[in-house]
Order: sequence, then C-alpha cells, then structure tokens
Amino acid sequence: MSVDPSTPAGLALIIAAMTVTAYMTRVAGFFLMRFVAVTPRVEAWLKALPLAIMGSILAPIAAHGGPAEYAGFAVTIAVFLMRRNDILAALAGMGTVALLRAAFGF
Amino acid sequence: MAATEHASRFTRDGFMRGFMEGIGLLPGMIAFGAVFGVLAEGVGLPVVGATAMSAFVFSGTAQLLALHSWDAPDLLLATVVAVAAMNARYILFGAAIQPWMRGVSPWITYPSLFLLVDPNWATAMRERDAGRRDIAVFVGMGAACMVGWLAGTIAGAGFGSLLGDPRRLGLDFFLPAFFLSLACGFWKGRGDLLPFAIGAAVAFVVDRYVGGSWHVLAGGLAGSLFAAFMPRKPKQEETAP
Repeated sequence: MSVDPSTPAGLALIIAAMTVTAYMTRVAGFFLMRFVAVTPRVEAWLKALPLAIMGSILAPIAAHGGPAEYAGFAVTIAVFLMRRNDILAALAGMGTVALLRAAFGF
Repeated sequence: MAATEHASRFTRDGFMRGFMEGIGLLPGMIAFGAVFGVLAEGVGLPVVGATAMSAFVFSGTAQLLALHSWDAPDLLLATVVAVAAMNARYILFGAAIQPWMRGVSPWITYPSLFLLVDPNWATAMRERDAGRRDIAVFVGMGAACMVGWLAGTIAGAGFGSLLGDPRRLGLDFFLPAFFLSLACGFWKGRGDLLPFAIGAAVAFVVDRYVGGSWHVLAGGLAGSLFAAFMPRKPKQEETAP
C-alpha cells in the first residue's frame, strides 16, 4: 500500500499507525506481566533488567565512539560519583564531548 | 528491592515531585526535540505534522528512524517497523514497571503508560528500589519530558536552520551520558557486573549484525535472564576465607 506523506490524509495515516505501534510497545509488557506471579526468580529478573538494558544501550555507543566520547563517558562517571546528580553528570559529559569535538574535530 | 506491603498510589504531590525533577531534563529534551524538528522540516514535514507526530508517538529515536526512511517505497510499513524496532525496549520497561504499579486502577495505569519514556522509567525503577510507590512521580516526569519534547520539536521545525549542526554541540551525547550516570546510580556491587556485561556483549553483537534498536531488547533480556537463572550462592560463602 503506498501512502503519500505530502497530503494531509497520508501524513495523518502514517502518524496514526506510528502512534498505535508506539503505544502497543508501551503497554504490551505491562499487560503480559498481569499474568505473571512475582516469584523470587521473576523478582531477580526484574531487578537485573535496568542494568542489563543500560549495558545494552551503552555498548554500541562505546563501540562506535572515539576519544571525545570516551572522555565524555569518563567525565560523566566522575561527576556522578562526586555529586550524585545524574542530570548534572550527563550535561558535564555532553559539554566535554562538545568541547573536544570543537577543539580537535573528532 | 525494598519490600513494601502497601499498594501503589497516585497523588498530586507525587506528580509535582516528578514534574519538578523532570524540569532538569528540559534542556536535553528540548535539544533532542529540536534535532527531530530540524530533520522533519528537512524531509518536508509541516510544523503541525512534526508537532503531532511528537505529541502522539513521543519517541525520539523512533521518529528519527522513521524520517530516515521517509523516501521508502512502502512508507507506512517502514515507519511502523521503525517504531517497533526502536521502542522494542519499552516492552521490557513495561514488564519491569508492572509490579510497581499493582493496585492502581487500569483507568490510571494505561493512560499513564502513554507517557512511558526512558528517564521516567529509570526514575520509577529508582523509586521502586527506594520502596516508594507513588506512580504519579512517573507521570509528572513524563509530562515534563513531553513539554520539552514538544517545545523542542516546534522550535526545531520552525527555526531549526538557525541552530547549526546539533552534533557539534554534543547534543547526540546527552542521552548516552544520562544512561551512564543512571547505571552508576543503580550499581550496588560486584553482583551487578554480570547482567551489565552480558547485556553489553550481546547488544554489541546484535547491533553489529542486526541493526535497529533490537540490540537493547536482546541484550536486556540476555543480561537479566542470566541474573534470574544464575545459581544462587549461599550467603556464608562470601565470608569464607
């Protein structure tokens, strides 16, 4: 089926399809968990999920990164350990990357 | 995980707390929204269309990938696949958040999940570990993110050409850096190394050979399931010589 995104109807159809898909991903896991009892094993699984997901998000970024990104990661960790503020640490890491890219064109 | 016996709640105070904390995320959300707005304008989306997409889809990476396939022959399928691939991790996020929300009416939880994004999910997990169960914190932070996301989209689609190259400003690095500092906060000890490292290793391989954002789903499942099925060491082993 071909849809023309330059017409209002075509664009609305595309956005509607994207909206339904996005909402389904947000509620699918939630819905299915209603039928799962939280045993110690399930609890261990859910507890480990955040760090496993964060490792998964960071690995490819680290793999594709260069010196600027590595320095950015290091500064992020250092600032977080000093101040325990995640947004401040992220902004510091972002600033480091911007400075190094500007200075050395990484 | 701190065990709390009382059910989850939804309070006005919680909403305000989440919203105020979310204000700290505004620079990043606005910048990310502006990146999307600029690129949307670049493929010919009207400001209204870009804004509507941001309001309803509310997923930066998914929307960017959709724009990337804007000239695909089967655009409708390409955009749906883009959203599914990039948001696949939210299936896991939703599973992880469900026990925390137990006891709150589905009339509140299902609309609340519309606002599920990365930062407020991570915040919900932090609240869960602290033994707090006010899900309005999650909604408040999601609302703050939505405000920033829409403001950024409108600014980017309207006046984006004034901004210059977003990469030069390091804006693409905000989200990874934010996740890294969250991971530091989640880190409790050596036992956390394996789920993190296995997730990272599997994600690296899947990213290399599959693409999309399937690496997050694959790595997240592999690392966390390993933790769930890891043979449990008896406690006294740690004090043995």
